[in-house]
Amino acid sequence: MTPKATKDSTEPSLEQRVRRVLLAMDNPRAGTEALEAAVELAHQLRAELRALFVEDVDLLRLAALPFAKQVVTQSGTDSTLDPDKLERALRAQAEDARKGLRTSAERARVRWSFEIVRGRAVEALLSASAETDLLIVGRGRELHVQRLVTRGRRVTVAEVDQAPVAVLYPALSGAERVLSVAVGMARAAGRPLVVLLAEPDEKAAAARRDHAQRVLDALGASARFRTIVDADPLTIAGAVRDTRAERLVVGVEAQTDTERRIEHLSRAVACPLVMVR
Amino acid sequence: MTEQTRLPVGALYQHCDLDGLDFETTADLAEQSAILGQDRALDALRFGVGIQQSGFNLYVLGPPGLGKLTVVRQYLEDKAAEGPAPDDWCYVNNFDDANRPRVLRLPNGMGAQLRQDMQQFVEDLLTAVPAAFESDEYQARIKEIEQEFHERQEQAFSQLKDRAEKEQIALLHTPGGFAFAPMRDGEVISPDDYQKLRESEQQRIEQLVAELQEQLRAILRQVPQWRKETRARVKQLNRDTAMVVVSHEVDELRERYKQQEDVLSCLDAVEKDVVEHVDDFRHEEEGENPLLSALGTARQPSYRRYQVNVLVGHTDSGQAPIIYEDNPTHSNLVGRVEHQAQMGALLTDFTMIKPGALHRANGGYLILDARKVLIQPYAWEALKRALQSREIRIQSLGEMLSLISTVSLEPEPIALDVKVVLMGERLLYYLLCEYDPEFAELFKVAADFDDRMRRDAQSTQLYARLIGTLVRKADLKPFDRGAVARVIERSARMVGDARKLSAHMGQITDLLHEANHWAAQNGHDLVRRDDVQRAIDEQIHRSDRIRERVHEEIHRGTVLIDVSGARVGQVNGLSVMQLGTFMFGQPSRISATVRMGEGDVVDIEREVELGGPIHSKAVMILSSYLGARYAMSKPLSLRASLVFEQSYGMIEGDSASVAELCALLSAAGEVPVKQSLAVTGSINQHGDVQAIGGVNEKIEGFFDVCKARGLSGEQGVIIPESNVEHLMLREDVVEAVDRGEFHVFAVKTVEQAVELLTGLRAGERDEQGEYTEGSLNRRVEDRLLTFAELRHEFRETQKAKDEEDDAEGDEGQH
Repeated sequence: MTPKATKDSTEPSLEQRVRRVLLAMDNPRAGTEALEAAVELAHQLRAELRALFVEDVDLLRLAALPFAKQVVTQSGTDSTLDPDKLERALRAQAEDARKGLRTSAERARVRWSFEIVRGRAVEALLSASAETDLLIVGRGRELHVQRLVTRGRRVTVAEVDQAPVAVLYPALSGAERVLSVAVGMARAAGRPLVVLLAEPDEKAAAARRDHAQRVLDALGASARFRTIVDADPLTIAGAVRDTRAERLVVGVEAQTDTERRIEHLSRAVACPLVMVR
Repeated sequence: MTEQTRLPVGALYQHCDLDGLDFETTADLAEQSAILGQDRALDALRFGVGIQQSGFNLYVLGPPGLGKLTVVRQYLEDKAAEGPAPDDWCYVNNFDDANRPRVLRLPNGMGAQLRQDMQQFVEDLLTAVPAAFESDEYQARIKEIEQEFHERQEQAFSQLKDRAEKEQIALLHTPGGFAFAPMRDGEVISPDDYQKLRESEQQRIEQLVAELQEQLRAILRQVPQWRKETRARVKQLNRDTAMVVVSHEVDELRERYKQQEDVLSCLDAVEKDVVEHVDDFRHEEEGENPLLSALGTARQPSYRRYQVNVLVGHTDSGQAPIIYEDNPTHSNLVGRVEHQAQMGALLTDFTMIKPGALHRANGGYLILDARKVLIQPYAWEALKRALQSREIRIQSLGEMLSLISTVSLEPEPIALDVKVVLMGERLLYYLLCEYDPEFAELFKVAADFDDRMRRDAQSTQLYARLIGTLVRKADLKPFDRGAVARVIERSARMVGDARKLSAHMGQITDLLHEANHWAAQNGHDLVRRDDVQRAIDEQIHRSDRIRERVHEEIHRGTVLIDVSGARVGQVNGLSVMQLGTFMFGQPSRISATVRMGEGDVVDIEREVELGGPIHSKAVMILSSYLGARYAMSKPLSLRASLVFEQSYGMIEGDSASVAELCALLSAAGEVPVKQSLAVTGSINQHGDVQAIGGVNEKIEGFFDVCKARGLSGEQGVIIPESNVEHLMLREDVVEAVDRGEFHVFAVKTVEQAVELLTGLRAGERDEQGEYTEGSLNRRVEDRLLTFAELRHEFRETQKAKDEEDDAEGDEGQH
């Protein structure tokens, strides 16, 4: 299933195409995997890494409401939430995120920058990005309040190496581009590629699969296909989980609901979300 | 009388008959493996070793140098070869209480096998366990469990989130947890817009948020329980996975040790522990403290608890062990628990249990030196405790005495089945019998080694063979017949008895070595009689500095001893001094004075507390003898004083009592005593002369003094007749007697002695009860009668004077 080394010489390479990797973080704890993925990609593509720490505007609004309270994860108790307290907490989180970024980027010798913006993660990412950017949103599973730590479990190298790159093959004009970025990422990381086809109709699914196969053939790559019934974020997240994929590559269209859809998807999937414009 | 009591030369020294020695040199002699003259001790040894009942341990008595250890070892080695082979003893970890290690008793040789098997067992697990936990099956199952946990949370949160979203409420992730926010047009409602809402709407939202928060809290409260359940499932999975691997490995061992119930029980515990601590076998390296790693003290999985500490393991020799513990300290006897210092703390475990001599001798024999055991603190008590309880309990002295407070072990005691052979002096044996009531219960068999043996033709032959064997063992030059004869004669002299031979093989061996040395010095191929004599002379020469000094002082007249002439109330007595192993005799002047008195003999030595009780007793016997012999009808009206002249130390013993009596009789009868004679012997109340010790040394001591002054032919020594068979005199003394220059007289009664000393007949009572006219007894009795009459007169005069004084007193009063 590993993509072949040969590729179409007319296509620009992924390194040539991607100038910058953009990472949006609004939660340093859940964003660790995204940060690692972004640093790894920037290193592989010799691109600059730009990190945006997004102070969620919804959270700030909530804090200003008179009844605002939070339920503390560890204790399950209530705690008041006021704007000052929240801003202090966000600043502390941003500092943690910056330190984490610096450590990882310097270790990988990647050029980096860090910026704090206020808004929503996907929206901020899209607005700050250009055509040649690779976008990563790193929320992780925000619903996972506590991860289960099983002492003594040993994750083998083979297991990590075999975690595939998943790509949601879109029914849009830029499908080939999204697929080629995913092939480039899988090839650079030496991982298998899984193509997710969101098509309920069997005939249509077969047609899209043929199409994707042709693109892959043109790129000299191979992939495993998996058909899903719809493009709902939860369905996609389930498929990503089943395939044990460590990254999900999606295309971003210039549509009105794009931000919202990506926002939902980024919250649903457990792995870093890589967006290609 | 003189001729009757004079001893012939032949009585002075019992030569070893060369004709009875039918060999030329010791090279011709057969090996003498049997032990000579120790039949009683050997019988006791056979009995003590043979009897199996508790408490029948042995105490081998006898002075050092008798070869007791050699004899005992030789006998035990023969006995031990009959077996049975002793068991192996091992300590293993007690998984219920690590401070109380368990003991395993295994058939001979199985301990080492079990230790090796357990090492292999751990090595196999280190391969098999990681393989099982890295298998696809295990990984799939663990992910399934984890996924189920995640889904459970996700489902709960999703349901809550869906419900919130239906009510236009968003679940937001805050830095510290979660919060619910009312939404409008996909965004959280701003505070201004919220204020514009109707109050009822605001209340509805707030109530709704409160409800959602309550549900969220409920979910969060459930999460720990879900995690706990999940962990329990993971743990169970780990157990199941481990059990499959461990059981397979343990079953192989179970099959191999199926006859050993203790081992099977131990394997059950090991299996359970490995399953519980299976992570130790999975090469987990997470979470290691870098500081501890740098110090080399990081917690590494330890497999020591599965090891087997073979405390006592045997090769398959089939022999019972014979252990001689040269340094029987408490810990060397009962074993010890060692500690290892780590980060300032003293740590220990069952692998650091070390065996003692009792462990090593278990199932066999333990030989100990009694004195060494007794001088080691608590060793004797520990030995007795082990023998009484028939088990070895390892307990450190530091712990017993509360000197250290570190955690130590209490290993299970080991059943003890050992025969202890204590080697020691007789005095120790008797003291222990007297003062330690447990001793007699624990050491019921005494093997009493004699320090002398009978001397006759047969034993002389065997003794010669023994000498030959010692010569061969020590790789010495062969001894010719004359040399062997001289060694045998010397052996008799060592024990001071012409009819006995010394069983002190240590001293005999020393003599053989020294004779061999002088033979080599003289370029002899064979050791000859003169080499042996040279060795004896050199031995004496090395030790006789004090004797030489004493004799020199006598010769120079500093110490007054007359060896010629005659004097009233003065007799040459003889005494013996022992300095180390060397004994020598010296003459002592004994003087007596008499005067009128009330019948008491004053022992001046006793008065100044320089006389021992035995000496005082002898003087009292003299007093009794005098009274019985000379004062049957009249009071003994004599006061006599006896003294050892120029004596500045303690006087003990009764061997001078004949000399003292002779001095007393001489003084009482005013009869001079020949100073050319010396006398030794003790007397009883009837005047019989009794045997004394050191007769050879005493004779030789007086001879040396006389020889230095010039032998006159009149000089000699009077000894008790019962000492004649002890005579093994020096060659020069025998030769002087043979030439008539010196004499040895043997007497039975004190009358014989005084006749020799005074030249007067002692005299017998006639029909009228009077002693023969002119006899010594007559002169003594007459003198005593004179004292009695004088005393009577004195009393009468005194009485009359007293009455006169009383009458004058009465008149004065009137």
